[in-house]
Amino acid sequence: MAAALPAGGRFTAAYEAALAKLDLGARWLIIACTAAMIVLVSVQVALRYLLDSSLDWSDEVSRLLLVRGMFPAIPLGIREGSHVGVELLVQFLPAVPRRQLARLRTLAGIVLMGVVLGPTVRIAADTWDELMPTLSISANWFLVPDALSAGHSLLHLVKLLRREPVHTIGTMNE
Amino acid sequence: MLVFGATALAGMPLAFALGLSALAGLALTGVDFGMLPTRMMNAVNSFPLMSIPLFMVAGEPMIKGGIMEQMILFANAPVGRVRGGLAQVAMLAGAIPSLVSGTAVSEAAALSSTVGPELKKHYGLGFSTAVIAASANLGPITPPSAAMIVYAYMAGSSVSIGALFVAAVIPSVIITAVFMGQCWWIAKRKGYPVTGEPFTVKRLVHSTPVSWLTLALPIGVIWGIIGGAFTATEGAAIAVVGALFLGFVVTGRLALRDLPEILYRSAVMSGVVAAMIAFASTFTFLLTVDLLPQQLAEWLQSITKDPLVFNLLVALLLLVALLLLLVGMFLESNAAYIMLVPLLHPIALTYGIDPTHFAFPFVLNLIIGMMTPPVGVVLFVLCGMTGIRMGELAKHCMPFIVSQYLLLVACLVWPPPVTWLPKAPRY
Repeated sequence: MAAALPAGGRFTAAYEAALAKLDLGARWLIIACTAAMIVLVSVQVALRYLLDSSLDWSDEVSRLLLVRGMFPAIPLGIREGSHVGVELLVQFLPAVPRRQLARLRTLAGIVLMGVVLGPTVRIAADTWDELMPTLSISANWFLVPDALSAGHSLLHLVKLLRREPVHTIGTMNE
Repeated sequence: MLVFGATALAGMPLAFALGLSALAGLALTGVDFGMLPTRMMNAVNSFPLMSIPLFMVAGEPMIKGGIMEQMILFANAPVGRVRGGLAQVAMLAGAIPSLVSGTAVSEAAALSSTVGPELKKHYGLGFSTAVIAASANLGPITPPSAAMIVYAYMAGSSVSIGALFVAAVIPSVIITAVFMGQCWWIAKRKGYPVTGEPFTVKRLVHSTPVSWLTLALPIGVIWGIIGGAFTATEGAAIAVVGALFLGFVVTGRLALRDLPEILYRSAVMSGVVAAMIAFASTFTFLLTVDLLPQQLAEWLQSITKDPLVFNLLVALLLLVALLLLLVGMFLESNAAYIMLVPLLHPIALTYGIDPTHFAFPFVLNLIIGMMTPPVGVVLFVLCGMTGIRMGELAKHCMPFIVSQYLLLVACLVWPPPVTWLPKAPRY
């Protein structure tokens, strides 16, 4: 099947297959982090009232799980068209300028994510030695989801640009 | 502000429009772009913010786990036989799960698919859809509400999530009662048939034991948050555990295979809000650096130079309300909280307005916008689900919209329904 495709088509197919795998990984990361967050916060309450005890690191780890769960949801929100926008004016445009505007929006999104990704990686690398207050791991683990999310979003936006983004209400839907 | 306006009107998702305007601001002021990711991460790295995804997770089993049907059975016992009884049932059935879920759109979808067909059979498409819209709008008005969490988070330390939940208790009871009264009056005027069985205490107590458990969960969670037994985030986690228990064990309508999808859906919905909060953090910081809140405060004070302090306060509140009427209808409400609360809340404090008295009408205003034509998001969802025309639905919704605006004006002019409970000695 792949052999029948032209070189560009093969690249696109490979790119989209890799992105689909990345999406699947992000999906399970989100599910795992959200589940762990629920368990950790509930256990903390139970420990406080049942055993008059608490976990020192609970607050920090649950916040880390929140950041780890929320940032990967941003690119998946792009994929699913969940990000809300105002479409009042755009919907009255003719088809061609509407499509061009959609491409322009996608390009602007690529610039935004590129600018987020670069400094995030730089800052995380420069200050990796700073530790969390209650755990002996780098505080910049909080920045890792930020960088991954920006990179993942970038890949989705590039895919949108290659595929002629379809204009739908309030979103960058694929 | 210009970049945000232009990109938002060009259809850019609001989170990214906020990000691009922050980028433009950083470029213009010469500040290092490194501020953007750091502020983004710090904005989301918050324990109170965790309550948003958790309450969303709690809402899903309440809706998918057959709990809505239980609530319909429960509500049918006391009010099923009253004139317009089915509409009253829908109001109560919508209000009770909203004690956990707190989002209007998901409730509109759930009510439409459960009580919707029966309502339509007795009252016609127009009134029945309007009842569902009004009932769904009770979700974010009734604590715990995702809208109130976002407001409290953006307002900083001057108003807590718990205080805002407490402030909403009396107004949400009032508006639920008013909606039910309106259903009775409309049903009487239009001669809708009386349905349901006569009320008996025995039927209420024995017919729906599952419903009593369902009712106990949100009341316990809200009581715990208000009473200080646990934080809003901890309350949300308890709500999740309780809602999953109800869905898996009590109704048995949830299966283990449903759980990943519930967690995923809630996380993605929360991720959309988190993206807005993250990108807005730099945007609002730059506005603060530009002294925009101070300039806005001076401008407002130049408008309301009335010597009577009371009139000044009410005038400010009404000015804000007028602004929010437009914003709530045309701007996605979370974006409105994220952008406007950091600007307007501090100004309200400088006028000496009680933080909850400013916050609740602010939230209520934007929630009413969700069912105000022409672009209320709840109306859009229901038009799509039922096939009713927007104009027709708007006409039937009007009595419910008017009563919400009357409540808003009443809360603005007369604070006690909002401020009395947060100031009560126990709290």
